[in-house]
Amino acid sequence: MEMSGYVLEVSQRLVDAAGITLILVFVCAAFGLVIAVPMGLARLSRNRVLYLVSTGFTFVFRGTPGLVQLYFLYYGVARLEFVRESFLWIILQSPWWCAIIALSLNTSAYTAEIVRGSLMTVPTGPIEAAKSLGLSGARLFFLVRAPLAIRVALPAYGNELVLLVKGTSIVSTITILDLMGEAKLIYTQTFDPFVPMFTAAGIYLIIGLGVSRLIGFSELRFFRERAAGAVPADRRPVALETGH
Amino acid sequence: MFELFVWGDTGWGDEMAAGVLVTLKLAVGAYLLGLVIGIVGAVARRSAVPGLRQVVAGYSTAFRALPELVVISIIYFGGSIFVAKILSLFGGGGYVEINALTSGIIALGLVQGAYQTEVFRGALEAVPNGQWEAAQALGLQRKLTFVKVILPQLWRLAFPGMSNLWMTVLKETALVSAIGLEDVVRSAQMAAASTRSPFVFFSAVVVAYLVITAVSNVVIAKLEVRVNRGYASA
Repeated sequence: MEMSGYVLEVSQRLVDAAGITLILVFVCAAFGLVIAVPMGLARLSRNRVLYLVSTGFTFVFRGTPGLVQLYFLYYGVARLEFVRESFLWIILQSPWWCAIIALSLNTSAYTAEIVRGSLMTVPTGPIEAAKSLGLSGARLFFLVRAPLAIRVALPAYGNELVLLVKGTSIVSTITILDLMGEAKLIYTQTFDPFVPMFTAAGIYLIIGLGVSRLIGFSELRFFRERAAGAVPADRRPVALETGH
Repeated sequence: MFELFVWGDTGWGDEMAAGVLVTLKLAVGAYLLGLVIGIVGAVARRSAVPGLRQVVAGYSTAFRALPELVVISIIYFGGSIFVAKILSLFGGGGYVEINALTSGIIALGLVQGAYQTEVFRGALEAVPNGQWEAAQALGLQRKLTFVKVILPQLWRLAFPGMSNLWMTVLKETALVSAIGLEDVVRSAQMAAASTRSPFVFFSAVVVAYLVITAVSNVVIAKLEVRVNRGYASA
């Protein structure tokens, strides 16, 4: 009886903490996407400055661990004298803002590569056809290139979201009590690693599967003819290979 | 600034360098463990033994969705208790401490193994069936066929996935600093605390990772040419 009461209490605390994890995932995915689309476009730009800045950005953020980016911001940048005396201190003194900034930039670098890769798979035929119909600029992009690229990008973007769910757990190292942080706190209070960690693991699995399912549904939305089985397998867009 | 990185008692150069070595040791150890698990896992996913395929599929799904920090914590905090319980079953006693490096290699190796299983499963499926049939026609047994005929072809097919996973494990090593392993991140934290120059030392960590990544990219590009020799480039 006492054991099941303990498990119930741990589960209750962890489910509450999972809300924090979900908020982080949602906010960082949104910010990440907002940064990633222009960044991915800049990677394809003929403008040298745009190309070099975006390439440097993705190299640095994909080449270093998310945890190091978080520490760099929270312990490194936020402790600089001139930052402390400026308005930036209002933002960077908070572990929350540091977590959101670091995770958003990190996920945006990987998403930018997905944006770039998917736009590169759009064949020239439809673009030439659209141009001959008089479409150009934003209309060409939003009506022809983007819809064709999204189909290729979605599966890879789904993987990236699952990696973001996992990635949010690093915020527990800077005192935020997300799902991982709460599990760690329960361990230090009870010295029992098994119940809190396995329960947290179970909740992470559910969130991860939920996110994949969500992407699965939107894939059906964007591939209506695929859902109907009208497109043979060998004519479907190729999967993107984007390493993390 | 440079006096902070002096070798010896006055600077942190030697501590940081030692940290880089620990990071590399952890990355290589976890990668090799993951590689072995991945090859065995991929073969097991085609096994006829009832239930084995499902177990491996479950392992691969779970360890790809779990945060590495959770896996590291379970192995590090739970591992010692678990081993002690097993020992007491056999009449043994005492407390067995699993150190941070071993825990890190096991934990990250298990995560790597889950991803490598998928990489090698894909590669295995890409080897045409004719290769198995031809080997059988020559009288080779299945085990020998796998080692002599299939495995040499797998490296080329698995190479892109394998190189991505090396980059992944390199970055995951940073997480093991959370359980106190003195890798490059932990060394920087200690140096930062003692010198009150966190910006300098965390910048050094960023540079260290970028150098390792850039060197890895060069080596991977060289290896890629080598594994693809004999095949016309597309």
